[in-house]
Amino acid sequence: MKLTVKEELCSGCNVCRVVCALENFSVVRPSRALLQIKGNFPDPGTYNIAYCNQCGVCADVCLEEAISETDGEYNIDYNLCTQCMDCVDSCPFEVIIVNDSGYPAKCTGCGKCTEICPRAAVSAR
Amino acid sequence: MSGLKVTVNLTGHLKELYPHLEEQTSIELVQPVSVFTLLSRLGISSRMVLLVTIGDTLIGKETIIDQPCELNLVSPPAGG
Amino acid sequence: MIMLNGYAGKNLKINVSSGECRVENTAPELAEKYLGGRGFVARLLYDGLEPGTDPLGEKNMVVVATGPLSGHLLPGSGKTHFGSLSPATGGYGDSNLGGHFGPALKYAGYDYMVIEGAAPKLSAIVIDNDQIRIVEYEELQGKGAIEAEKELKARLGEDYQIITIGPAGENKVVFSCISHDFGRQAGRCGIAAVMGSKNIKAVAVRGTKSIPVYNPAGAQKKGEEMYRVCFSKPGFKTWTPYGTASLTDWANEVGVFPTRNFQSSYAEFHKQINGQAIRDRLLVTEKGCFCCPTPCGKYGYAKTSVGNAYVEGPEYESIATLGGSCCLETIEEVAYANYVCDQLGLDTISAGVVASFALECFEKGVISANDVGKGISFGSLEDVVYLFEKIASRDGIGAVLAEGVRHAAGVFGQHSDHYAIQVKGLEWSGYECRNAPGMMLSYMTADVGAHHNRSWALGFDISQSDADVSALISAGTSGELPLSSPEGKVDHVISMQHSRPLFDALGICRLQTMEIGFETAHYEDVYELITGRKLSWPEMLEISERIWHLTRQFNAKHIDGFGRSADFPPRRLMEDPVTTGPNKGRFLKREILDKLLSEYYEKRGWDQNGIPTAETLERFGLEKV
Repeated sequence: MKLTVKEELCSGCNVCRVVCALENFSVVRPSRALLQIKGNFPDPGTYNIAYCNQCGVCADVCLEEAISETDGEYNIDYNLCTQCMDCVDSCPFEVIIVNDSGYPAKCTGCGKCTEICPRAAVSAR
Repeated sequence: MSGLKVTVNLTGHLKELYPHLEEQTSIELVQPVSVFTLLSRLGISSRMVLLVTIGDTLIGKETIIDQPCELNLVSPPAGG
Repeated sequence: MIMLNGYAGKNLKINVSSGECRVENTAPELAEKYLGGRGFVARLLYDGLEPGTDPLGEKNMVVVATGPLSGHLLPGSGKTHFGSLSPATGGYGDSNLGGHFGPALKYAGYDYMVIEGAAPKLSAIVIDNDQIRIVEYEELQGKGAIEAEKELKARLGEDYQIITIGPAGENKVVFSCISHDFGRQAGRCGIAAVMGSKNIKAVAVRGTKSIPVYNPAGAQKKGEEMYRVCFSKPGFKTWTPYGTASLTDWANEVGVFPTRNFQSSYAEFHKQINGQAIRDRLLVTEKGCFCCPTPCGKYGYAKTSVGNAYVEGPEYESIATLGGSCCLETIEEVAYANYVCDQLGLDTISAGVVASFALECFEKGVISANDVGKGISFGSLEDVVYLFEKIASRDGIGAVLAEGVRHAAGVFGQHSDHYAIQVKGLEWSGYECRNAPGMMLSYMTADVGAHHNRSWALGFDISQSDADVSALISAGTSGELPLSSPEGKVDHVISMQHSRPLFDALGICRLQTMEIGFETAHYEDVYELITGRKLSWPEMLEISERIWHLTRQFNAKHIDGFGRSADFPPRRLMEDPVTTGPNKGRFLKREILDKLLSEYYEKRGWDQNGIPTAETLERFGLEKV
């Protein structure tokens, strides 16, 4: 599933990040989420959502060709990944993380964030 | 002459306070009336209704209901 | 270590005098008997403080506690509970805030933290998972609470969750508040003053660990279901856009809106300060707490002749005390006064009531322009802001007002205690009760003093007064409200005093249940999936009742001569008729309240002085004072 966001609807609740970590890593640990929420307070009092918009920069920088695209979505092949972390460093939105096994992890398009967002701030494109 | 059908949804504590009414109740009006009068016909104290909306639009209790519609009645919260 | 599923498993005790930090396992029996949050606060304070402790001395403690459901995937799981010996009342003090702090503390690995001692210089406690530091931040002295949070986020990182105090807390104003997330507060009981006495300006937490769960897949599935249920409630769409401010018009229609220092219970200008006014004239962003499906925070921008500001709110309580009690007639003015309180770090409830007390004292000639520094009047934003600034800096008359209305009335004399609206030293919050005996009893018997959030019996009072629908129809929307009988109210109050604070022990928000009818059975199910422990809602209510008797014991232990006399409201509410509105002419005589109190004590299992009996204590596993 490809995501789109309406930042003006975001209330900063972070439930998307809690469900993301649970779905993808089976942990109650939003620091492992594959999207980020940033508040801009006290002025102008808005939220920004950093998410994987499938831009493909990670695939472009991966020398092992471990990140490939299918139907507009990019995923990591862990059989090819050598943990060089170039994708982590290059992500323009800083939403590729390093998981507990020491491998990069990115949005898998599971769509759980879109189902649970009470504001429709994150939805399917 | 067919009546004016109004569907009324009770939320929050209204269901407990008015057990004789269903969570969704219909009433047929012979002529347009205010929300306040409609409530009294249902036996609901307007004082126990915090907000009245049609869809997402808030309306006042003096608003005249002159078309079929679905009203949402919100009770005062149990918390401030 | 026994795995305490749902909990972080450890807690932190920091002595800011010595710098000693102790990390210990959270005791399973504490979790079993008290759940967490308010339960932890009550038990730790009871065990940790001796009678005669100075609330502003080194031996007082600040307890910051999460609950077993805090930080998990379920609606409203972001609540944090704070407690200490209150400088306002000399007794049990606690307060709760939303936002994101509690979850961060749990993700850092701590179910609760206890702060003791006093730092030599103004400092912040900085927690980054296992790394704990006490950092001197003298340059933050005098900075507004919001300003300080912004400064610390810039220095430490945006991924820190931070609580701060403002200059009011630094100056130990007994109704100063703890602030967080640019607009959330733990307002009541002056816990920020205790932090100020410890020279702690802020606590900043970064937590990146996980919380153990008994059945992660099951808890995730149940949590997702809970959100779907919330989305399906009609109140999800109708309540959320207005939040607590939606109460404003209703409170005026039923004549419970405190106006002009509680002289009246109706404000003609209420439509200028209601929830619709916030949406039309202030709103910038709907701001939510951690994992909340019904973000009730309204972040907006207010422009006034005195100043402009971004502010979260105003909530109903602030509208009632600043708009109603101080007679600020526009939403912009209420919001700006709210902002001033937020920056100074003053509880808007107490600050509004203290200010309106001062305004009435001036009107009556009890205090003069010389005493105040200028003439002051109801309805003036400029005068309210002036008073708040005086209070926060303890300047001139501010030094007296900073001690709360009970103390100020003692200093001013001239029978001003008659209209010092407080119980036990805590100022009354936003509901005028002279025709609401259940709510009056709620305020009289709340453990922290005059606070509404333990038992909100108003709906019951108002519905009970409408026995005759035909009388209602003839009375119309603006007619006189029928008399609300005191009969049948005690049981309802007691029941609410168990159910509402239970959410504070679980570490979650009660508003999904209270406002949109979200069923409590869901919490039973998710609690079991998270902790592995089967506990029914009635069993959880028994734990909440245990906590209730414990906090009563705490007051008996710490307040000299504590008893029945501490449970009465000010004489205005027992003797002065309401001046205008649907409850014009009403007041609740002392004899009626005396009778209610006697019935309440009997049903509580307390003696007629309001002290828990030996049998009651034994029944709940509590020792005698």
